[in-house]
Amino acid sequence: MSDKPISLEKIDDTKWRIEKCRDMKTHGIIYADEKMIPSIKQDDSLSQVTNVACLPGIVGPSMAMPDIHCGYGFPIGGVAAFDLDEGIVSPGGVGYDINCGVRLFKTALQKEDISEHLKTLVDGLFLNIPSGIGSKRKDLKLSSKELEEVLENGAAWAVKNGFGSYNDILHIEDHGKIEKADPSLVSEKAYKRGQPQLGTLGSGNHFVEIAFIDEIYDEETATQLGLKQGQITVSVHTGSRGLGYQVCDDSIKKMLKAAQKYNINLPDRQLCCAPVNSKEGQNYLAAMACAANYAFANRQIIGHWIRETFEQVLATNPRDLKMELIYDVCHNIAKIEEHRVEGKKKKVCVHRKGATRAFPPDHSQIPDDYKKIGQPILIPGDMGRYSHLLIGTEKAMEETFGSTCHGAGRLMSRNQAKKAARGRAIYRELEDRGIIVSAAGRFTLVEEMPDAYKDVNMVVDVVAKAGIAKKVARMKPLGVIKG
Amino acid sequence: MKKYEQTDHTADIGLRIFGNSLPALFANAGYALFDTLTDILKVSPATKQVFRFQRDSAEELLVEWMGALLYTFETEDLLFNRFNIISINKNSLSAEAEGEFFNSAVHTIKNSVKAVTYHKLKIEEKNGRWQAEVVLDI
Repeated sequence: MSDKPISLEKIDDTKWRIEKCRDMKTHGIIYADEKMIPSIKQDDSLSQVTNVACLPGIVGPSMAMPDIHCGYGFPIGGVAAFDLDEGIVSPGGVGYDINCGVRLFKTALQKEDISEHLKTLVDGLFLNIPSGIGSKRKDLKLSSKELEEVLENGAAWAVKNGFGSYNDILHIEDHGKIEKADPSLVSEKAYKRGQPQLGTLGSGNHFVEIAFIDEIYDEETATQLGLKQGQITVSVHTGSRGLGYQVCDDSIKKMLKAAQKYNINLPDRQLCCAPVNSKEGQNYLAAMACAANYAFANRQIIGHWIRETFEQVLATNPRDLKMELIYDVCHNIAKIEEHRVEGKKKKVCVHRKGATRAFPPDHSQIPDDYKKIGQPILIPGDMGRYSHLLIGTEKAMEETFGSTCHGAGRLMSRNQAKKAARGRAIYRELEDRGIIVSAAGRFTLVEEMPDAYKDVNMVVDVVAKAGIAKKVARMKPLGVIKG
Repeated sequence: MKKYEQTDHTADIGLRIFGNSLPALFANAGYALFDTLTDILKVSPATKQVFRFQRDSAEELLVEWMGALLYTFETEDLLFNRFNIISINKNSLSAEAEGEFFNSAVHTIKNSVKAVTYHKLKIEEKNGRWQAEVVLDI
């Protein structure tokens, strides 16, 4: 299927349709503007959208957000929902980094309050938060029993053990704990990988970023969130580390067998899956929940160290710093959610792989203090440009099972980035733009350089214009630590 | 004969691995993985580990083998540079890998590899020349 060119039919300025053909059970919808289409067509991502459309029990179209790029199995930026009786759940629809996600803190600081301390803050964060490949903590080695509690209770475990406060929990998707997690379904290998890695950033595109609010698009919502121009924010992007990768790997092996058992025709092995309500499907969701909870705890712990670092470097206290969590979102996850399908309420299994939940005002699953405004959505860009804060909408509920984009999306492969960076000092280029970067791996900086990504402003403009999120504020980076 | 080449993939790294036999293909797959992870020329064969697997196909065995090498690196800090396939058929593999413990003063990490995926996984043989395609999640 992937060898034939796929024709896209333009619906409007932000939406494109792939007609149903061959084994596809539904059509595909791509959210993108005209300028993005040539680069989207360059890799395999569109055929991945059509492959997902072939899976049994898909409800609604196979969708992709404007940050779409080639993944493995599902495209990155993919959203697909499946019927609970006829449909499937697929580990490839979530990815290896289960509950990779982002959290955003606001502070009582203005840009000028930290300008003299920025380098010390970045160095302090780099020292206090283990990062880089295979990063491990020496002072937080969990026993198997403790890890089991993390897998069951997520961010609440971290709070109970002194990392952050109960108020943080209220501002995390699903309160930092996905129900029905069953640690007995997590392998010994996953435990071995997970035990030394809780509270570590990892490498690749994971980061901690100090930024300031450089533009506000929706004054009323920003005020309700306590945000104003020039204010310092801090964000964290990381996930479930080796534990999540192992849960995915173990699950794929089981799902390859399950797909055969249930006679599911796979256009790509990586799409292996099982009926949602089968034992294999339920076991995957219970193991995935464990990895997701680990990721919530991981971001909670890292958040605590960020607060400590700011307090130490700026010689301040929690009361004056007011580093409060705005929100924490997942962008690699599968969830059983209630949506309106053809006019009727229906529970479906929504896969978001490189896509973010975007629930509207008054939704039962968002915090009480956000009920009026809707769920905050955090969209990190590349380290040289911007990040965005958006808010969920009713239209996202109608069109995308309450989902929107998750980031800038890669434009260049890692090899292309290396070629493009030849003869350039990326570190210096960022410094010239007023951004201090500390990276664990010297190769990471080149592969993750701003030019390797799409412009996040363009991505965000498409989802805002399509109405599947609303723009609230834009942040500009000042200091970044990379793995 | 070239052991492997990298193929372009937007977010991840694709590997096209070559071999003049199935055992050579698997040995070169180990090499390709560690050459992607680190400067493999700086790794010495100081210690040895044995790996044995049974799977449903040669393709699945390849992912299992590369995945096990990656897991050993992550959990035991072992980098490998020599790979000896003791026996292989399409359902089972027995192999040894030689290498040494990661030492930050000697070794660099070029890429963090999260996992060896099944995406577009393929092993082909034409006139005694073997070729495999594997995508690494980065």
